[in-house]
Amino acid sequence: MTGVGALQTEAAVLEVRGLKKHFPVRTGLLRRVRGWIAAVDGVDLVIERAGTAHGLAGESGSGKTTFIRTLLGLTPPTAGEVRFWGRDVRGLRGADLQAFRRRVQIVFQDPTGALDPRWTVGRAVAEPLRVHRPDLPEAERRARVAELLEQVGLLPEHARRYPHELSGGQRQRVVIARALALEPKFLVLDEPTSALDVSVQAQILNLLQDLRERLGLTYLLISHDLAVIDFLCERTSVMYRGRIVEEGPVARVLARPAHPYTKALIASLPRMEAGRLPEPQLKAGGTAPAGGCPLAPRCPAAQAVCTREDPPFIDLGGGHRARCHFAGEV
Amino acid sequence: MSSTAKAASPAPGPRALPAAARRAEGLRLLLRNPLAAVGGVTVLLLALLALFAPVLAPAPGDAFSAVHPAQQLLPPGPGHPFGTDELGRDLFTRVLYGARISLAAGAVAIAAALAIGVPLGAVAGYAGGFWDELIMRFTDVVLSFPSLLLATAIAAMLGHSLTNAVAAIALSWWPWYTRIVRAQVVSLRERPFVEAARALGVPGWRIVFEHLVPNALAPVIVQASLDFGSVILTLAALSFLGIGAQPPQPEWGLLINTGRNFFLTNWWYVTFPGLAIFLTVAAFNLLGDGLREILDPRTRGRV
Repeated sequence: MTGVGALQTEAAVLEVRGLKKHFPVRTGLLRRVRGWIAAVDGVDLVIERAGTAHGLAGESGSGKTTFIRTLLGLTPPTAGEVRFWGRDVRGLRGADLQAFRRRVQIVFQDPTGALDPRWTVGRAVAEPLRVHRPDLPEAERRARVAELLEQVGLLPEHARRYPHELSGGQRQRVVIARALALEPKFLVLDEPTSALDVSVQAQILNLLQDLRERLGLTYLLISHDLAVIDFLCERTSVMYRGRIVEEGPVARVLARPAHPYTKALIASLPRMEAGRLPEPQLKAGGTAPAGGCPLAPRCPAAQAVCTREDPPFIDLGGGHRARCHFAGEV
Repeated sequence: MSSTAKAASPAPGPRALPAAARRAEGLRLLLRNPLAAVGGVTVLLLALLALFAPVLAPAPGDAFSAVHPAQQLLPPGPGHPFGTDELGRDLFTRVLYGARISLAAGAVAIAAALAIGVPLGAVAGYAGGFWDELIMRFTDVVLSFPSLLLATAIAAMLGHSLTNAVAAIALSWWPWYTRIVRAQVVSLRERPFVEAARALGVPGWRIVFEHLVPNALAPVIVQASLDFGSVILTLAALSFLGIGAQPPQPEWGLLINTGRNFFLTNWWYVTFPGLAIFLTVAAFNLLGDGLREILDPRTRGRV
C-alpha cells in the first residue's frame, strides 16, 4: 500500500483525542470523593487506514480495559473524544448507536465468561442477528449461524452445544463468530489469546489474521504480550498508567524501543535460550512525582529532570515517537 | 438429537452431558438425598391425592355443603377413616379436598409473588442508582413487617375470602424474591457476557429477561419451594382467624378453627387437618433443602 500522509481528506478509521476516564475514590461514612484515579489519562490514538491492525501494549492496570470500554461507549469518558470514521461516539443514541454497534465489535479476553452458560452456541451467535435483524426468517438465521461457525473453523453441529461442552479455543471461536455476525468493519480484540493454552493461541491468532485479510477488517489489538502484537499488527502503541508512552511501526518499536517502559516490556518476554527468567528492568512501586514523568520512580535511567518535568512526545522519524526526555538516547 | 448423543457416547464425562441428561442427573441427585427424596415423593403424593380427590373421596358431596344430621361427630371408623364433623360430613373427604385448596392456593400465591418480586429485583439490580434505591427501600419497608402480620392486615382490609387471602399472601411475600434476585443480578451484571451483550447492542430489557433472570433463578426456585410450606401455613392461619377461606370451604385452617369447639370431646376433628398441614409443610421443607443442596455447586460437587 502507498503511504498515507496527514493531509488525506478521508477521515481516519479511528481517531482518539485526549481521552480521559477518571474514577472517583470515595471513602468514609458519607462517601465523599477523596480523590480521583486516572485510569485513562489523556490518550491519543489514530488508526488511519482500513484493513490494518494496531496494537496497544501495556501491563495489567495500565488502563487498557477502561480504554476499550470508553472506546465502545460502554462507559462515558471524562474528557476527550472518540471518532470512528469521523463520527463522535459520544452522544450516539437509538438507531445511530445500533448502527455503530453493527460496525464496531469486540472480542473479549475470557471466552468462558463472555458466553452465557445457559445459552447454546447457536443461540449465542444468533443473538446479534435477532437484535439487529429481527425480520430475518428463522431458516435464514440458522443458515447464517452455520456459515459463521464455519467461517471461524467450527462445524454447524456445534450450534447445539453448550459453552461448557467446548474447549477454550472453541469458545473463543464462538465469541469471534458472534462478533462477526453483523459484518462489522472494526474489531476490538481485548487480549484475545491470553486466557488460552499456548498451543491454541497460535490457532486463534492465525484465524484472526486470516479473517482480517478475507473480510477487510480493521483491528485494535490490546495485549500485554508484544509477541502477539508483533504477529498481527503493523503499528503499536504502548500504554503506561493510562497514557501512551510510545508508538510507531511494530518492527521499529520492537527493534529500537525508545522508552524505558517499552524496553522493560520487551525484556520481560520469556526467551528459551536464556534458561532463566529475565532480569526485572523496572524497580517496583514508587509514587509518581507531581508534574514529573510517571515512570520516574521505577525507571533505571531516571535523571533529575524526570522528577521535575513531564516529558513531551519526541519524534524519532518514520512515525515513531516516544514520551521520554531521553528518547533515542537511553 | 439427545438420543443419538446418548447412543454415540455410552459413558459421557460430566462436561459432555446434554441438557436432558443433566436434568436426569439432577433428579438422581435429589433421590440420593434421602430426606429430600422423602419430601419430593410426599409432595408428589399429595399432589396426586389432591388431583384425584373426586375419585378417591368416599363422599365427594361432603366436601362442601352437605348435611347428614344422623352422622354428626362420629369417631374414625369404617366408612369414615377420619370421622365426621358437626354436620355429619366425612372428614377424610374434606381433608382431601382441603389439599386441593392448599396446594392450588400455595401455587397461585407463590406464582404471584414471583411475578411481582422477580422483575422488580432484576430491574433494581440491573438499573442500579435511583431505581435500585427506590425499589429496595420500598422492599425493606414491606419486609420490616412480619409476613403473617402484614398478610393478616391486607386480608382484613381486602375482605374475608380465600381469593383475598391468597392475594394478601402474595402481596406480603414478593420482597423476599426481589432481594434474592437483586443480589444475584448485581453479581451477574459484572460478568463479561452481560458486557458482551451490551457491546452487541442488546437492549436492556432483553439482557435482564434473557440473560440475567434465567441465571438468577436457581436460588429463587429453592426459596420458592421452601416458601410453599410457609405459604400453606400462613393461609391456614388466616383461615383459622376467619379472614381466609369461608365455610363451607374445606380449607385446613378453617377445619381446625371449627374443630376447636369440639377439641375436648372429639379429638379427630382438629387432629387430621393438623396432621395434613404438618405433613405438607414438612414435605416442602425437605424438598426445598434438597433442591438447595443440588443447585448449590459447593454442595453438589460439580458445576
